[in-house]
Amino acid sequence: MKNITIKALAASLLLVLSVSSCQKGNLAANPNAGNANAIVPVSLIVNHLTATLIRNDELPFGDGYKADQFQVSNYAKYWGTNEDTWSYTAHSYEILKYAVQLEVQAQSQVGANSKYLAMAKFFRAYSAIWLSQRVGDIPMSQAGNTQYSTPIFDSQKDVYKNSLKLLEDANTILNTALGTTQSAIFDTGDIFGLTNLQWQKLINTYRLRTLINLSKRANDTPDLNVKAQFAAIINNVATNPIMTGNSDNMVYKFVASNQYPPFQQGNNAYNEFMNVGKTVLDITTATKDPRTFLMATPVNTAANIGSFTNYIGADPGTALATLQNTPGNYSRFNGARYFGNNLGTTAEPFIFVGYPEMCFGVAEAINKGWISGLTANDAKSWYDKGVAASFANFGLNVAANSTVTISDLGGKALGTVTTDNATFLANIAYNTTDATAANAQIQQQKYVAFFMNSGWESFMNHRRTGLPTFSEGGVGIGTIGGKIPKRWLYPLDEINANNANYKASIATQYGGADVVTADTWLTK
Amino acid sequence: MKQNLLTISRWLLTIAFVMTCGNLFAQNSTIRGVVIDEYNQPVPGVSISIQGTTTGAVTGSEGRFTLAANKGQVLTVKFIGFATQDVTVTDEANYSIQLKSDTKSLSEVVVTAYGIKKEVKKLGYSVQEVKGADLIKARDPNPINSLAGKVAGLTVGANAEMLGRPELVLRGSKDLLFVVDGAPINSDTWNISPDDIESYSILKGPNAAALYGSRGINGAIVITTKKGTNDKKGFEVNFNSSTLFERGLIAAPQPQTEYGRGNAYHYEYQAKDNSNVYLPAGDVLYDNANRLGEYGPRFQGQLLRQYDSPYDPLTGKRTPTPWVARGKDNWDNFVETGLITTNNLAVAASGTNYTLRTSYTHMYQKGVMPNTKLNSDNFNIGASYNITPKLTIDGNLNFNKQYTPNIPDVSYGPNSYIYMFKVYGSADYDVRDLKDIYKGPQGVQDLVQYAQEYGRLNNPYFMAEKWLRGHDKTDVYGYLKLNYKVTKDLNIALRSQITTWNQSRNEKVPSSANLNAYTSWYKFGWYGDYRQDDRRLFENNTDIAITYNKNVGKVSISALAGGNARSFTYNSFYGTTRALALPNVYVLSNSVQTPLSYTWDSKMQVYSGYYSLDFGFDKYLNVNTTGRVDNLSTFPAGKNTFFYPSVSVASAISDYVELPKAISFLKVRASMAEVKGGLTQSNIGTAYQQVTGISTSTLLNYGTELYSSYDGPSYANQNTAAYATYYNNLPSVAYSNTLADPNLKAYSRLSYEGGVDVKFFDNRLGLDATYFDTENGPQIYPLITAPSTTFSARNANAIKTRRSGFEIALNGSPIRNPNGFSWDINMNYSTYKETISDIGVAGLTELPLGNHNYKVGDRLDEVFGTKFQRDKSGNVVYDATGNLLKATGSNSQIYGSLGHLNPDFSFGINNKFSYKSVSFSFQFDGRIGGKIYDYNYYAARQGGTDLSTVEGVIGAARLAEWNSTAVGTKAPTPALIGNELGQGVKIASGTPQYNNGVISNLDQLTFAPNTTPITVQSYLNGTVKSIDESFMISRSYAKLREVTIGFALPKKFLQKSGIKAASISLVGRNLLYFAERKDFDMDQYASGYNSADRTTGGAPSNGALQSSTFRRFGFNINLTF
Repeated sequence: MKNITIKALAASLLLVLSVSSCQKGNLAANPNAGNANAIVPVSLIVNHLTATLIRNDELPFGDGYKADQFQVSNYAKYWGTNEDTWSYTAHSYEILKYAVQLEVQAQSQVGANSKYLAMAKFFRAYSAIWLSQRVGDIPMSQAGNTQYSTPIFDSQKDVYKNSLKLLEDANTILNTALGTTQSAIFDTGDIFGLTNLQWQKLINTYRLRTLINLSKRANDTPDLNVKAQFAAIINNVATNPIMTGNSDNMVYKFVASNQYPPFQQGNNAYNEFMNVGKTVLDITTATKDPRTFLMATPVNTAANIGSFTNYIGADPGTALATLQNTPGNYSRFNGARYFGNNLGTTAEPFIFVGYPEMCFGVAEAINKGWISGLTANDAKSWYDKGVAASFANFGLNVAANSTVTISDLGGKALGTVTTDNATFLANIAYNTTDATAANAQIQQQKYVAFFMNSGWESFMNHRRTGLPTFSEGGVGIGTIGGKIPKRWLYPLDEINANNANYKASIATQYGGADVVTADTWLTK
Repeated sequence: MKQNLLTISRWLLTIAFVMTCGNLFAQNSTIRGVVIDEYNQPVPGVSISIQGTTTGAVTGSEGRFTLAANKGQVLTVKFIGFATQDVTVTDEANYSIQLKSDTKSLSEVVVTAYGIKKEVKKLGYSVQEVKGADLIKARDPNPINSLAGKVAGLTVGANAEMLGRPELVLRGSKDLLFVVDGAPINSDTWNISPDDIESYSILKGPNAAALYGSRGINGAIVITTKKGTNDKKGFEVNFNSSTLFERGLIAAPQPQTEYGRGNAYHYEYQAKDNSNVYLPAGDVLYDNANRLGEYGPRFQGQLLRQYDSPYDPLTGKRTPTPWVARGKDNWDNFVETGLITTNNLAVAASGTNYTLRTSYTHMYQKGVMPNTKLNSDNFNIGASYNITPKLTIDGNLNFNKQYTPNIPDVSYGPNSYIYMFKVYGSADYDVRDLKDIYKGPQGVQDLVQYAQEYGRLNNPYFMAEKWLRGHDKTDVYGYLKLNYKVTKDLNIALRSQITTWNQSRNEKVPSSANLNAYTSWYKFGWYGDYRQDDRRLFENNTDIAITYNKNVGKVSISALAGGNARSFTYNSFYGTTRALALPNVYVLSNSVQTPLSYTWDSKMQVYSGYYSLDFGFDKYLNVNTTGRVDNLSTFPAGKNTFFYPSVSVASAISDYVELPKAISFLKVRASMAEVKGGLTQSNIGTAYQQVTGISTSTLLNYGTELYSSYDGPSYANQNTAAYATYYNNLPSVAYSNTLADPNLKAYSRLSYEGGVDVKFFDNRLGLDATYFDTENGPQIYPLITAPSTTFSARNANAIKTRRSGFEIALNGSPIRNPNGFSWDINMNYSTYKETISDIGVAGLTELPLGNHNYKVGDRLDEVFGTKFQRDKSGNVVYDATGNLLKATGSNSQIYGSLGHLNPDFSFGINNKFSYKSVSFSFQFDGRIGGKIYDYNYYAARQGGTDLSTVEGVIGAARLAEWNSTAVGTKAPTPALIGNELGQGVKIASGTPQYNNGVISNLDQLTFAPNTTPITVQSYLNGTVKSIDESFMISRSYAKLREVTIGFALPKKFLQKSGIKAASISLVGRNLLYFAERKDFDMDQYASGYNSADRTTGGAPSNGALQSSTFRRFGFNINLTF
């Protein structure tokens, strides 16, 4: 008996010991990820910044293009409504987060004042402007600093001032940091595949965009020095290199893992449930713009497909229920171009910040008299460059007529049309005698050049200039009186988690009411 | 795994060794017996003496005794709490003596934490026990589902899916701990065979489970397995067989069959074109560019080009065929009768110094959906052996294997049959025509399916045969325990236990499966996809426990001290191809784009020390205190050790106070407990989700993220930089968005409980009432932060919620006649509410959750959403377009209260009638009150499929519109004014302002009748979709859950056959369902708001489409040899 006891005890003790193994070491740390303070290669951060810069609503057929009135839904189930009843905005602090990390990591991996620092400054400015132009004052100086859990709000003016300084500094750093590497690819992580110089051009082009967007504040804020800064860039492009053609455009290339949005998001089968907007087609048909044929489908395939009267845009102000019942009365998107290829190779390149926009911006600045020494003819020249560059993006040559294929929504060719560029160019010829009329032309052609690209920029431009005329007042806009809002409400989480600073800011800006109908300082 | 197998084989060897030894010591020269209580539980420590002699014996731990006695001598059996019995010795060598309780002093025993049996009357907290035998007849394949409606405070959301885990909610908490024979196991609830279970004890909340530490915070289900046999001969064979058939949904969406697929009353199988929708477009072989709802033409036999209309491959033309509702009965034609068979064979033996039981269960389930099945094999072997009177060794091993080539996956998407038949269920095709899945001209053998369309849906038979989701799981748990009785009072137990499983799932998406608009790398004409999800978990618990029992005068002491080491490892893998390169080859490398593959692993070590001390002061009072120290590797050193206590008091007043005769027993009790823990999570998803934070259902845009029980480290409090990719498979980085708190402490939960047990009329009627009050927090809470901090949340010890409620269990035996008619009734009722009691963060006065900011005192299950706008008379307000007017502005303007998600109360009623050998029982249970968002209704309404879209004013308008289209050849004239709630009004003057989701300035507005017609399709897809109120329905339901008619064969018929007992039962489950809307089974949504992971079930944002529950009928045969 004793023997058995010992045997059994020994056997079971052995078992207990063999099964129960204590695990040593630091088990608290997540073995599936690195520590945030460890070395992270800069190219990974560059990749994060560039790959996530453009949001879904800014990609083609995203919600931004409904606000831009390029795209009109005729079925709420698949494309939502055409309402501008937006409330809380998204935010852009994720960009700031990675810009901060880029600075930290570049400092340790590449050293001080590297091109990465310049890039970080650009993204810091981009992040701040993106949000500020939507809401007004925003936390900037204390944002992204872990010492501040409730960052104070900086005035919108300070945000722009700081951002312009960041952009200027970025350019200055690049002027010394690039040296002979201007034509080298910036970084393997950069999804846009731009060269060092192209990044510098992008940054300065973005500076021009930012400055022209301050047009309403150009005269009453001498400390911002809007006009002089703009002139300084244009007058000295050697130290402020700007885009010189479409090849410098920031273009998002669609790839198998990131397809053209209707394919990536699976909405291609619903493409009959949207129409091209009246705002843009009214302009292009009135001016006999050959781009019409590439944008839209003819309403009546049995009638003359080369007639501009056969291209009719849908008005987002129309009741959606009406549009839903009469979608065939309006043009759809050209099926062969926009839905012909899952990588969007048949459509025009998707530009996020581009040369045509810049040209129109410079034309506007000259037209406004910001650049001493430059005349209406210089403005005309930039205006014409912008039109020509936009044509090129559509695969057209402004100087020569082309034969274009008209397609229906399903991609079926309906026939060909030879463009009449001369008539179009005559119709839009720059008015060198009437600055106001010329400005309307600039804004109109800028708008057309923005067709299905550059995110919300054409909405922002319209908000600033009132041009071109948007459909407003209709029930389809969804707001009280069909008014197009002037701004967004603050990000909900900012309101909830930074409430005291938010309330103080709302009080100084809008008398305490965070409403979408108020103008921000930028567009007041 | 190799290591594990080695370990397991060693176990088996040891157990075999013990068994061999056991047989050596069997004796037959004396009489043997077992003493059991009224519940057939063996009673140890019973003294048996032979009258007139000094000879006697005391029953051992298994209630057994051996004694030398002569025929004619009388045995006196005595035990406290039971009536003394005399038994005369006969020729029989084996005796089974059942003690009858002394009604005056009830000594019911239940199993509590650590498997310790305690007398109910000494317990200071609430434990409810369910006997395993009560659940194996009207059985559910899942043993935990069977507990539904039987335990006050426990809500079981029985999952209708094959292999689905039930959602368990105990006093408002999910994620309960499962304990088998004293040791925690990791359970998917399927790795336990109901036939092996002696009893389930439900430890309700931290008071009862304090000894299990943080794992027991939500309460525990403590399972005691069967051991040995109570048969007097010491040997028993038991066979239990159940066969159940499944058919008929108890709740299902009702689709209309009047209009078919299409848009604006038009449909043809055609190419997409730009012309007016009513002009015919070009023919195609595959109509893959259109995705349509059920808004097509009315079925009137008109000639249309359809998927099966004759197609001339030379001209590419289809000849139109009549448009008729050929598929009215598609659902019924498609589903099959399901079958669930469970067979269990158990052999048990017991002797004076050993017990042995081995059991094998096979469960086979054939699904109602074609080609779905599930097999489960369960082996359980348990043995104990008294090596010496002081030294006992016992062990148990459970081996469970689940395997199936195909189980259904159900959610809102192309993989759901409910979706395709009931939500987008056009009746324009006959499903039986699709049985030949590769029929031409569309079909190509093994490459392209023959389907009714190629835009959204698939041929259901093609899905059943080719789109397969395999599951294979091996699950093992077991322990070996050595018990040494140092003295009569002092006992030392050493135990090592493992619980481990290995699961592999895969999904084969066949060539030509239509995933249009779902998975981003899908394109028409692809060769399919393949996914694999592997998970492994291993956990070991080794513990030592010392118990000491002593009576000193009128004070009794019962003490337990122990230590536990828990070692945990988990490994997971998830991979998916991105479109197959070769069709029909399902390996991960066979991928057009680089396949995605992810691994995620974890390890954890926990050391614990604990004690439990019971003091009994004579008959007046019993006090129990416990304490536990945990050292968790999930926290950094220095912050990883914490202590928490519990105390409970019970007093059986009826033992010392003379009460009215009607009251036979009265006990009061009270307890409090604190539990701490943290940085672990109960469930875990795929490696993909763990790494990226994105669910696989988001990645694929269909299907459901699979969660497994886990209870390991969450790594939730770390600032990390993780691999990510965003563009063109380039490597990238993702920093964590939740800011870690380096000073984070364990969370805490403080729980109070008080209750009373009363029994009346010689225990014929019993009432057990409990009130509980739990303070949950400060929690480890990811508080939202200002986005300007560049973090979305920061961890903090913050937020306290208070959950309080009560439970009542009522047991009665109105008629009790052992030889005649008896009636037993059990009823239970429970209710609770959870409110915010403290936010606990400077500067934060409200807690934003979802679309509402909650304040201190608010109920957390209150759901906020968009509402109908109404005028003062209650008329619904429309906008100028004929759509419902909706509120605009900020959240507090747009959203108003839609009610509460949790029910007001839950109840269960069990009745059992028996007359001699025939018994009849039924259970009725349900939940009353609360609201839930009916996603089926929402989806089927906007799809134009719901039956209500052809009824009432909407149906009339739909018909009028159809008639205006000249048989679907021109646009309809809008005909709907208002909706089912009436014509409604529109604002004639004034500008509305909104607050709490409704117009706040009705006084400043004037209204006029709404006269704007709108098409039915525009209305159903218009504003109404975003009016949550229109899809909120009552959450109340009741179910006739089970009915059993049992017949036990009389013993005299059986004697000669060698069968000791036999019974046959006819059983039914889920027979009747009562609810306001019966388009889905609300039963499965047990949780409204869950504070553990701050999720809400049944809120508008959490829509889901689940299978509904099927009715089950069948029979059960139980034989004992």
